[in-house]
Amino acid sequence: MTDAVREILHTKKKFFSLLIMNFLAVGFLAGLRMTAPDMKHSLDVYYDEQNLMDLRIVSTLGLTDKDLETLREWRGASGLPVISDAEGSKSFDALVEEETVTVFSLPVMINRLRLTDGRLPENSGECVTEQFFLDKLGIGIGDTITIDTKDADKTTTESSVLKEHSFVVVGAAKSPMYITRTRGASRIGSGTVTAWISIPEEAFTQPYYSAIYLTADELDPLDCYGDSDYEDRTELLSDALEEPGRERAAERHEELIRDATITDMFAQILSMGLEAVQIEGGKWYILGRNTLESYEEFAMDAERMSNLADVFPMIFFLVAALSSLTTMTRMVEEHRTEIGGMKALGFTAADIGIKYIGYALAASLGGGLIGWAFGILTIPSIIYYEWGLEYILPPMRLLVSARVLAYSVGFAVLATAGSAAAASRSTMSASAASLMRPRAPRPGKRVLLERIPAIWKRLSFLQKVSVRNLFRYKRRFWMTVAGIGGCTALVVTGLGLRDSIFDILAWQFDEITCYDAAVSFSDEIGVADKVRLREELARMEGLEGSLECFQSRLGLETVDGKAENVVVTCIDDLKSLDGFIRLRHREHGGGIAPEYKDLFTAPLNMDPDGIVIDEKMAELLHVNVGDRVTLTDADEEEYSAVVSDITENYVNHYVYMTRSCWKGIMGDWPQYNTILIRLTEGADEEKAAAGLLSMDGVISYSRIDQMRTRFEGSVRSINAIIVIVIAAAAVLAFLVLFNLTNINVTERIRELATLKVLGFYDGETSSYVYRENGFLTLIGAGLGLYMGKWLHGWLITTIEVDYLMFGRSVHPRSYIISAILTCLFSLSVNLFSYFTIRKIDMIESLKSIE
Amino acid sequence: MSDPFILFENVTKIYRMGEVEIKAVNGADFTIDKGEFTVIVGPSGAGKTTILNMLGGMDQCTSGRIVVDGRDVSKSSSRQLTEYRRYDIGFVFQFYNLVQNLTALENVELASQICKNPLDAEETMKEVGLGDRMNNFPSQLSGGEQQRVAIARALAKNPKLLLCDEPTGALDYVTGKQILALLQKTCREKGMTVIVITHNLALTPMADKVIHIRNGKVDRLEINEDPVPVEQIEW
Repeated sequence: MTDAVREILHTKKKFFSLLIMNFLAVGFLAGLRMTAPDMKHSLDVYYDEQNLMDLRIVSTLGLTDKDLETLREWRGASGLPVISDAEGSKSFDALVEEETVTVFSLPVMINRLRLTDGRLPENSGECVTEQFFLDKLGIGIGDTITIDTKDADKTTTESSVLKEHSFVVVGAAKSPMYITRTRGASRIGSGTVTAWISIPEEAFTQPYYSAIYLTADELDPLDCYGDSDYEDRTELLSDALEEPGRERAAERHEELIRDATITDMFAQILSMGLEAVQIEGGKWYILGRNTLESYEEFAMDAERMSNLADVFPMIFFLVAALSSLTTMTRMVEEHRTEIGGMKALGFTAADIGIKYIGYALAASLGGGLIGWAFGILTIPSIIYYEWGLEYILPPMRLLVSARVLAYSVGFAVLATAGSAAAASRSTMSASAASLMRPRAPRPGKRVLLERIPAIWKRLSFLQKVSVRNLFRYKRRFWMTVAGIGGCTALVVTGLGLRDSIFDILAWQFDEITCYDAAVSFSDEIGVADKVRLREELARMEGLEGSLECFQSRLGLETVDGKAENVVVTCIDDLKSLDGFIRLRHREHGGGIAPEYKDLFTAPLNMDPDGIVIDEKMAELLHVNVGDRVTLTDADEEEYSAVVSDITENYVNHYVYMTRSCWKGIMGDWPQYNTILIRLTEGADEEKAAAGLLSMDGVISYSRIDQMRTRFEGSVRSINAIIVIVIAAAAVLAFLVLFNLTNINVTERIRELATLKVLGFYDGETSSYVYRENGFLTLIGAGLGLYMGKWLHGWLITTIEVDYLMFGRSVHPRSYIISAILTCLFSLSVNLFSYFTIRKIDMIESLKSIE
Repeated sequence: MSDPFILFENVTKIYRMGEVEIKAVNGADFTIDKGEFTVIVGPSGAGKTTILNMLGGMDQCTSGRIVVDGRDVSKSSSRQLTEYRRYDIGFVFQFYNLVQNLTALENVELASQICKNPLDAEETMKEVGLGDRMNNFPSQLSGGEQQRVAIARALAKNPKLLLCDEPTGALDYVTGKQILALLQKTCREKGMTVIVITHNLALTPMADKVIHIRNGKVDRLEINEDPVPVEQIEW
């Protein structure tokens, strides 16, 4: 063991590089593996602390105190989760300074707000809102805001939904309901909710609740993002509540019929923002956390993160392990005379092996443990911080997982110490005498290139040696090529991930979705309203074009029986979508300017009797052109359709068909309910949205740029991971090259010394090593580019979530950067070895034969 | 008297190993004339190899003066020493030190290509008696043959000085004798200055000059007026 310590002190550089490699591999693996669990855990704890709802109930008829009472008293069969809290919430959308906000009653037990500043409202004239909204309005705590309830007022018999309209801001807070920037859509103002405002319940005039929130304490210990138990238990509860739900909805229905003489009740129903409700249709909707937009968005991001952490660090790990293995094997081989001597003196294999195993253990266990600690502390925090820039997150909570510790450090120890053990075992199986005899030099061999005198004659002697060496040491050749190739591949993958993710922003939102907004109007819009809408459009400033079509949401059944949501667009002739939605095949080569892409792809088959589905959907369904797919509607009715072609698309799922095709499949003629509009550059979209939303019959105005921004935000966090990936890959590449070059020099020390004795200058001598390294680097980098392309292709499909398709190709620029980076590392490492070569002691190296 | 071809004047070489100073060479003086066949003998550890290394420009002396053909080697920079080895010195080692991945001929050419007036590599190979093994790799040759290649490699550089460190140390009796005969022949026929290190006292009669080294100093200097061809020596 003292021998091992001494060896470490003698070979500090080697030991250190081995240590760092283990550090990086373990740190990277453990850090990335812990990120998604940490993220989920932090949110889970936050949700529990703020008592986020487990279920929420909304009803077509609104909810009353009686509903609340029923839920509080309800006890399910034994074994079912028990409802611990039930709380009603009142809410509506309104305007503050022309910004659309959601106003809700101050939560008491469930969905509690977390103050970031000031205090919570105590009486009816006070409110609390989000800090960024205060910043946006340029006001602070103590200032007064006025809530414009004009729109909501139309739906109540009272003069207004609020008793007072002025509120003093007394605090800023975070809500567990909104952890992303998404606040949902609204049919007022610009159509998109900017922020929420919470006011005491007594400020509302409306007697009924918009929603009732439920929690069950027994669900708290379950990790809502990670534990499938959470979903299962919640579903049990929500299924059990169907029964009281039906009863209460029926009772409520009777209450309303009883009160039907009071005609203005109808208006009240409308105030819930649920259009076209018929009194007969009383129904409860029992919804889980996964119907909260921001809850689900975060889950998707965390899923992407954990997909990435699944495979990527393993590749990284393999490259590091391969390099450690080479180093340890080489080290034992270098010591064969010494081992022979020890063996001759009567030391057992175990006595001798402990030195090398001890050395490897020190490097792998030391590097691994430090790496593990460093990795799980920093990587999740950096990524969480990046996420935090987009999301409104609680403080991070780090988890320590014994399993991750065990396998990450375990693998490192296994690879390094295991290879040391294997190498010393195989070396020691030889007899002491044969070990002490120098290993016979590998015979020289002629290579194929010599058969081509035209080339061979032109080579200098050292070039000839290099060529022969390259083919003589096959194992080293492949080790080096694999090591360098692996690193290049990692860098290519890192850069490629970035390309793939950021490419689709432009492809989806500039090239494919050319329209700027979709304006939807009610099915029951009157002819006059429709005419007025068209007139308004004709008058609208900055309108470049508009297209009426029919859009509807349907399900498409995948192979495993899951229904994916798709937006179906129907129009008389699919060709008229041109200019609004581009239907085309994906161009596979990459790097072609958008305006020329059509030239490289076959035009889409717009068969009027078939449907066009998006590429990712086709992938999920495993279908091809000509296959049949099953569409499902809200009532789970199934309809069969033939896929006529597959179109390029990246975000969400879309199906396009002609109206006649819809008629053929569904049986009825679709009535146009959507107008796609395209605005001129610089048009005032806020104004356009407000103008259209104020028209009768218009339901929503969805802006593509907001979709884009939201998407951009969620992929930005991926950028942080990619930066980490690229940096780590670069450091690893450097270390691998350093180790390999070192091995190369020590293996050649005799030859190098001979050259020096013969009078070769330092430059000439080192060029002997450089030439080979350079050649290996080139081959390795070339192979690495190819491996990277493959790895990237594999990884990108792994980190994709179902509703997304990332770009599938790496930019030529990224390949070039990776190759240059690899060559630069190789160069700097070689520069380093120049000094090693200069220091070679000719006399020492030539004295003995070993 | 004109300046000697090689001058060693009060040369010392001190190695420092931490606190300890080891005087490998401690004031050695001798001269060697052009075309002389010199044998340096002495027990192991006496400092023979250190002397040869300094003479060959592989090591620098701590103090004293080493002059070879008018060039003060003891005052040369590392770059100048490399040049000196490149153009003026031919080395032959105990373990041949051939490049394994070059054929015998290529090993010779490797050395000759960096010199100013190299001898023809193939001719040199024929002279050392390896005309028919030129295209073999070192591993395909016997020890004696490999040492011949090493000698050819040193000779082809057309050096001023041929330095041989225990050239027969790894060879059997008969082969060793053949190698020494080759060296002696080279000296006689080409007028090459040859210096051979050995611990074998029996070899001294073959030399023009014998330098006995003991404890880092020249113990005794012998001049043979009538050197014996190595074939006639038995040991």
